Amino acid sequence: MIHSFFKRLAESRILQHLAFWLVAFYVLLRIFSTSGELLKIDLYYTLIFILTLLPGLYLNLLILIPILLSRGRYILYILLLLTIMIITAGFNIFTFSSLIDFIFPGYYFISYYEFTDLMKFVVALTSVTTLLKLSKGWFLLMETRNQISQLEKENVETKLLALKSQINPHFLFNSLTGIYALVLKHAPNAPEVILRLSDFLRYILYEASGSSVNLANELEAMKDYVELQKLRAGKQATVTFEMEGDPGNYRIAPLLFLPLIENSFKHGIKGETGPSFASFHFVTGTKTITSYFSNNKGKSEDPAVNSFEGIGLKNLKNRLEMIFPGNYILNIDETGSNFIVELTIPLYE
Amino acid sequence: MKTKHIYILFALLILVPGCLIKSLHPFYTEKELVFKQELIGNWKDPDSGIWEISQHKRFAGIFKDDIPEKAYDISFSDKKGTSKFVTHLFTIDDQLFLDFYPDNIETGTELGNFHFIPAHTLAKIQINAGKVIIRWYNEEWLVNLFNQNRVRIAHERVPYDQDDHNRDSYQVILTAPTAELQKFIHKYGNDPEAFRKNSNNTDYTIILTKTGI
Repeated sequence: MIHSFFKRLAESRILQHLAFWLVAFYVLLRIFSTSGELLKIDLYYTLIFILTLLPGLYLNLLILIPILLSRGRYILYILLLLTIMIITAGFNIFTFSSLIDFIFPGYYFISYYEFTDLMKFVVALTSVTTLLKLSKGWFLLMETRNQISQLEKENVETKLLALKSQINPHFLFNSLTGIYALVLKHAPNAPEVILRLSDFLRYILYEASGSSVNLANELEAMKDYVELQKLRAGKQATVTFEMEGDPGNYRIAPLLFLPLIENSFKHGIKGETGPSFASFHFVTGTKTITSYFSNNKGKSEDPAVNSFEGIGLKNLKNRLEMIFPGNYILNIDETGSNFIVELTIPLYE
Repeated sequence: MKTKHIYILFALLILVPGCLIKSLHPFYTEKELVFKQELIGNWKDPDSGIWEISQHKRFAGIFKDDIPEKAYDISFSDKKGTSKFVTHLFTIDDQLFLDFYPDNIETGTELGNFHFIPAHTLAKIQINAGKVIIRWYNEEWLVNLFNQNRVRIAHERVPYDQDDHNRDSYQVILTAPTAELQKFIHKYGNDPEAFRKNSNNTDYTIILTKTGI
């Protein structure tokens, strides 16, 4: 319970501010207590005292720091901060000299602190809140740096994976064997298949190494890959590849779909001795693409291996989280004898 | 001797019904002090009390003349006795106030004298056509405000009698610094409820008439 409270505190900005002001309220209340006891009148005084300082303090936190201090406009920042602090102290005096009689009629308050004493309060609170804000910013910066470093690591891993895909001897061997069989049979589509393999390898080697690729090219490469995989799928396998919508000039991170297609063949078609199927459906919308991958479960597969929690899928999830944190949909559904995966990701231009 | 005696004695001497607002710190600073020559002289109140008012002089040495100050020595006498005060006349917002401070307290023994803590009391005055009108601030008003938690100023609550455990009846001794006291007078010094009242709820005033210089 305590753990969840601190977790919520760390995540909620409003809770953090409330916690800070509760502590400040208590500390000021102890300072302002005139009789050593906590009297109702001291509570009122402390509350109004803090309220008079809030506009100035939040002007600094929400406007001056982000607009001036964080952009290195130090002199203007200091000048405006000083002005705001002077106005804040003046507002406090005005409140307890006049305004308080309208807020709490029938109560007797005066402005207990001289301007210089009030300035000390204002400077102290401004310093503490500014330092807290800056330290929070520093932690965020560290977190962002860590994320960037993680992304870079992921990028390297992706490139390595891409390289691995390029030289996947199984894939290449099977493709070449399939082509060899087609040539032996004098199949008319043999040149087309060779061209597909060539196109796919060129794509992997020269295009997919960047951080983003043209969506149409990516889909075309996936189609090539599916066609090449079909060579070894057997006659009882039904493989469909469909595209809907206009990819236009949209761009996408490379090879995000490849692990899912690879899994369909590896765990679905390959593991099945009887009729099997694999279906790939891509729907391009406005700034998003939704893809559906479905296949039967291979009977001869080891259930552990057959699970979609393979290394390829895990890497995919990591990449998705890094590239589109919280902004993608990945649904994995295991119904009866079928696997269905739905992936929706944003596109950029 | 008990501390309360100073206040009882003080109240008896100046013949004010009830109690006065007392402060450890003076209600004035040098800046607000004024000196009005017309206060100097002998005055009489309606209850035949005699007020002898002269300029206070600071002792400057055995062979030098005493230095006159912006302060008054007041000797108040009635049939019960005489008491003396050093009094300062000062203005806040063009209104005249008197700060009374006991000049010396004699209990009969030195040990007894050590047990008294002198306090400042405050009165608002007007000087009109040879008359001095004194209005005393009402401690009861302040005590009620403190009991109702409606006033915020540094103070202490002290029982009149050591056997009294009802905190609401304790007397109030203001401990706020002069600056705060003055802000309080500036803001609430004209509150009609702040002054002592007669039984018919009219302001209790002492009107002094001059009898001679």
